Amino acid sequence: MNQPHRNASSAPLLQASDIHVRFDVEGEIHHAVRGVSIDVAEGQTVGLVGESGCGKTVSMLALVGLLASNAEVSGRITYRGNLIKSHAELVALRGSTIGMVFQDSMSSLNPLLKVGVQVGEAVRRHRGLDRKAAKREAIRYLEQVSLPEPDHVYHAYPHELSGGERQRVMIAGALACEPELLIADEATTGLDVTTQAEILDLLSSLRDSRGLAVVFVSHDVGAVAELCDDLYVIYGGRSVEAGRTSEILNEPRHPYTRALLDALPGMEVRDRLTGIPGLPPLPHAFPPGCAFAPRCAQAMGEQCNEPPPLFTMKSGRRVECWLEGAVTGD
Amino acid sequence: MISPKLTRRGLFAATGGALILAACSDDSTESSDTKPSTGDSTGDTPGSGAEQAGGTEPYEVVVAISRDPEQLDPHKTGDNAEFIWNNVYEPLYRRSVDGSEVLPLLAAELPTQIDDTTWEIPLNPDARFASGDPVTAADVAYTIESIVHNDLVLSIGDRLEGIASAEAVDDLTVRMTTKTVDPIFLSRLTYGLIVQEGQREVEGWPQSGHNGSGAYTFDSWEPGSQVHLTRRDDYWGEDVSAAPSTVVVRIIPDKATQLLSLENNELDIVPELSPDQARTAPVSARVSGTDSTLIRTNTLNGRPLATPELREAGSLAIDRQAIVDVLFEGDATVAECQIAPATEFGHTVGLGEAEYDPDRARELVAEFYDGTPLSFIAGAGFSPKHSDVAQAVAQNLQDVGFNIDLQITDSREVLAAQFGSKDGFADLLLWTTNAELFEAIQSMQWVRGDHGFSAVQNDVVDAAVAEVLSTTDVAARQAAYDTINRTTCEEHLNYYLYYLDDFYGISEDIAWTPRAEGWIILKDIRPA
Amino acid sequence: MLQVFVKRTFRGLVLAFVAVNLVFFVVHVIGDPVGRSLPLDATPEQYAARAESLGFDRPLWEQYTDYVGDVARLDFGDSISTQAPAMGSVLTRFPRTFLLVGVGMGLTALIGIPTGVILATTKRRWVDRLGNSLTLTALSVPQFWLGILLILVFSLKLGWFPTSGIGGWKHVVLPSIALAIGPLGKTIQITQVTLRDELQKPYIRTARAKGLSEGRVLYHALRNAGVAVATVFSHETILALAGYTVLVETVFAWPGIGSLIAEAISNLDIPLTSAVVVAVLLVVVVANSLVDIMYRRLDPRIARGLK
Repeated sequence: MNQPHRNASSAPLLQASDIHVRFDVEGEIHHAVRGVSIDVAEGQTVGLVGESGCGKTVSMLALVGLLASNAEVSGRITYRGNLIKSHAELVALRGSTIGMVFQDSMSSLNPLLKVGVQVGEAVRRHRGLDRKAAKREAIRYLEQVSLPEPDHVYHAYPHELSGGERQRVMIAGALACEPELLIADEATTGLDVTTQAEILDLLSSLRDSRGLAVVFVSHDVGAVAELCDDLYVIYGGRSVEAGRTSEILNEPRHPYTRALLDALPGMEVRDRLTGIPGLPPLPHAFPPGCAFAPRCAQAMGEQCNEPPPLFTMKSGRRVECWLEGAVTGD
Repeated sequence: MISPKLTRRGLFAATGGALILAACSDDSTESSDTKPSTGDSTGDTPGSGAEQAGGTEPYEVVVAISRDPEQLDPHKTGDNAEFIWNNVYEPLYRRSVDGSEVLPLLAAELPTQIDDTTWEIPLNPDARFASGDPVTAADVAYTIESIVHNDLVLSIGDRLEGIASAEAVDDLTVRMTTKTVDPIFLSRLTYGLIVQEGQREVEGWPQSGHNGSGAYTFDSWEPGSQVHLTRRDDYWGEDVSAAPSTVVVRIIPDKATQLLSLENNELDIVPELSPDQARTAPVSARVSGTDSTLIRTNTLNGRPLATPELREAGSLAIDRQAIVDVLFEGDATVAECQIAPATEFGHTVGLGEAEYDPDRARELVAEFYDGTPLSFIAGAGFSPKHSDVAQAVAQNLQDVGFNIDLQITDSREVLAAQFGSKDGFADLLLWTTNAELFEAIQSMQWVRGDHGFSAVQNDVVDAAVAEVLSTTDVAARQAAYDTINRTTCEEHLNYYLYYLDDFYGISEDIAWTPRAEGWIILKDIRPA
Repeated sequence: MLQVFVKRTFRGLVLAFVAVNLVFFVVHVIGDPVGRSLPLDATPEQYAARAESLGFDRPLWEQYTDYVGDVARLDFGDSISTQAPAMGSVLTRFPRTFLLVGVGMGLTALIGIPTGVILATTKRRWVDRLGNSLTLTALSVPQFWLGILLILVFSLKLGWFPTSGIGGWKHVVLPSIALAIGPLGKTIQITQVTLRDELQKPYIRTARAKGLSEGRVLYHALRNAGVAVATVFSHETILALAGYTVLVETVFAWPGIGSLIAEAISNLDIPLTSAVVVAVLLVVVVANSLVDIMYRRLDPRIARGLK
């Protein structure tokens, strides 16, 4: 077992650079992800935040090869320093190395299989156990996600559980593969606040106890920000700002990041409540330049029609915005 | 209403079906040459024709029928299974194969007429039931009495209707009395299958306990599937050792399947074919001219066809030759202007065919027809191609200006209405009847009207029919027939269309000649 | 569970009562059973005698109460035409139809479901197109025509099977295929459509994310497509058991329940028709209950009354 730690500077686990995803929708190309780069170190917690439809989930699915067959993925992915050269290698990482937990546990669990079976089947697959041993292991994992009466839950069907219980089951299913990296895609969305907190607690305690690297994908910065070492703000299929969470929360530089934080109630940094006007662009209609420009209060006119330059700061923080050039001057 | 296409469409459908069958028939005739025994090719099929070796080798023959026998009582059975019981039981007399003569069977010789209504019949002393008991006068009297005094025994009771009583004079002599003078007494007796005295009281009858004098015993009946018969080695009559040792009567509802099964050597005899169907059989056999097809007109007062000129127009409009040439491809004969063909008793010499003159018909229609629609009813399944014929005739009649309302039905109710009350009468009824003497008389009953009125409204015909039914004098009967024939023809009371032979499909393994009355007498079958 | 059965049985009884009344009504009010059992040219005297012997001369209400009473005791009497006990005919005919339907639907399941799976999962365009056109053909081919075609090819040309009738296993093959072809088309279609649908659902993504094999992923989807497939499949089976086999039985001279229904009705044979109708209803009610149990096994949500 890895020693629990929250050190962002440990060895890189997953490095994805310049990931592009294009969907062929009846001959029309939708360029949904346009060059996102993400690094996850061993035991590190990373957050991907942004509004729905901005490309967070698509980029994560691209990393595990779970996109539909009409998607074309390009970019460079390394895992523990090994370059992933084919889709098959990517698929091989699924489950046993990278686990995933999805939102909407009702539809993301098979309604007609006992939840215990859905946990156990991963064990059988990855560890080659027989049915009986798999059942024992499944019950153990159900226990690990703090489900009461795991023996009883084993025989339950998804519809017989509460939303929080289902989410725990899904986490148990992912854990059962003993992954090194867990991607939680909107794992708490749709749950009530108390349950959300419980699930997040569970995930962080698992991260600590198992040295698991976790990627939180969420539209809700407030919910995940405090758990994350690093934060990526995604908009219009690009990562518009990335860096240490504390830095970003303290001093958001991209207008979109600021707007996101402004929209949060009760956030310590800002106490104003400012909704972001307008809607995020759709993948088939990304503007040619800065995708946020149409909604940006500080848009700089003509200039924003060109793709903004990337500014990388000493701390490793990256921002893509024309404003940055104007502020720093050089 | 009929469109001109209908007839043609019917023809296409019919020929299309025939083409498929013909296509395969060519082929499998070849292939059956290459296979020594096609029975093996289909494994456990029940029967597959006769063995080629020697006449006395046991062999099985399979006969197809379309409907279940339904009745196990030989006196209650329907037309389609009548032949089965004619192999297990026997009548006093049976017709010769061509139907021209009545020959003694259980009787020793033809009946002797004692007086107008009394007959004496000597029995064949050799005749034995399957049980070994001799066939006695008591058995015959029992049979006849139980039929004529039992309203339930209808299919046969109808045919023996004229007989009043039967009694045994001695062991081998039966005396029968008829209700009136009965010219067709002898014909009636060809239908009365003789059972042993007390047969109806046998435990389990008629499901079991059959004890006939025929050459075959009834083994089993699997409802909806088949009937098994076995040859009696101790048959009292002629040597039947060359006849099939076992016979399976298979119930196959669909005619196309019957023909394909015949093709595949699973069947040996398929009855009731149309001429084009018969052509697809490995061997086809026909027996001539017993079925006569005609249209009866409704001459009741107030109906359009009460007008003689319109009846004449109808007759002139029908192109009988075209029906025979196109629908039957020449395998039927245009009828003379009477029911019975030249081979049958009751035929009138020199009547000739009815005239075909559509122009004259058109003139008559123009002059006399007020446009009242004529109802025209035809039974679909009662004779080959009935519906095609009905459509062709309806077309002919429309072409000369008649307004025809054609109804083709297979409903017995609708057809029965034609024999029931006057209210149910259609203006035109397409009907096929057996033209053999006895059947023709039966048919005459509706010409005369059996229900207290005359359907043809013609006193001359009515008087002549009464004469035919009440005299035994051959010359007087012929004269009466002549009157009936001449009058119905000249007055256009019936439109006589064609005589159609009975067609059978036969396998190459057996030799058999179809009989005029339509029964398959199994002991007459021989290996090819 | 027990409650459901009681309810179902009660509904079955009500249905049987209605059907039995319908038989009586149709036969007496619309048909003429006496005339049907007589030659066409029977005289009124013969008609009257026949009616008396069959008990049709009694007042209608008396006939009705007697009839319903007898049927309630499952005493259908003797068939008018065969004069053998009506229930006996039903009992010899039904097993044959069971056999035909069993083999036919067995073939349908064995061929239809795998084919549907292949069509739902294939990425090859031509497989998809070929499969779809075959399915359409199967759905539109008339049973009668297909029956004759099967006989032509497999009996006459190839000599593999007998043309018709009952006997050994070889007799079962062609009629079963003719019977199966329609349900087969439907089964392939429903399997393909619902499976394709299920494979798009989020739980499939979850299964894949766990790194499960494609086979196991397919199992997940099939489990969910199962309810729809089972619905179509059992509907076809029940239809066949209810006498839908009549065309196939006619072509192949297969003396099953379908042809018995046809015979009974065309002969206006009241005892036989009633016996067949009640027997068919019984089979349908039992089959429906079995289908219910199957649903409960296939989808636990139904058992808890959630769906």
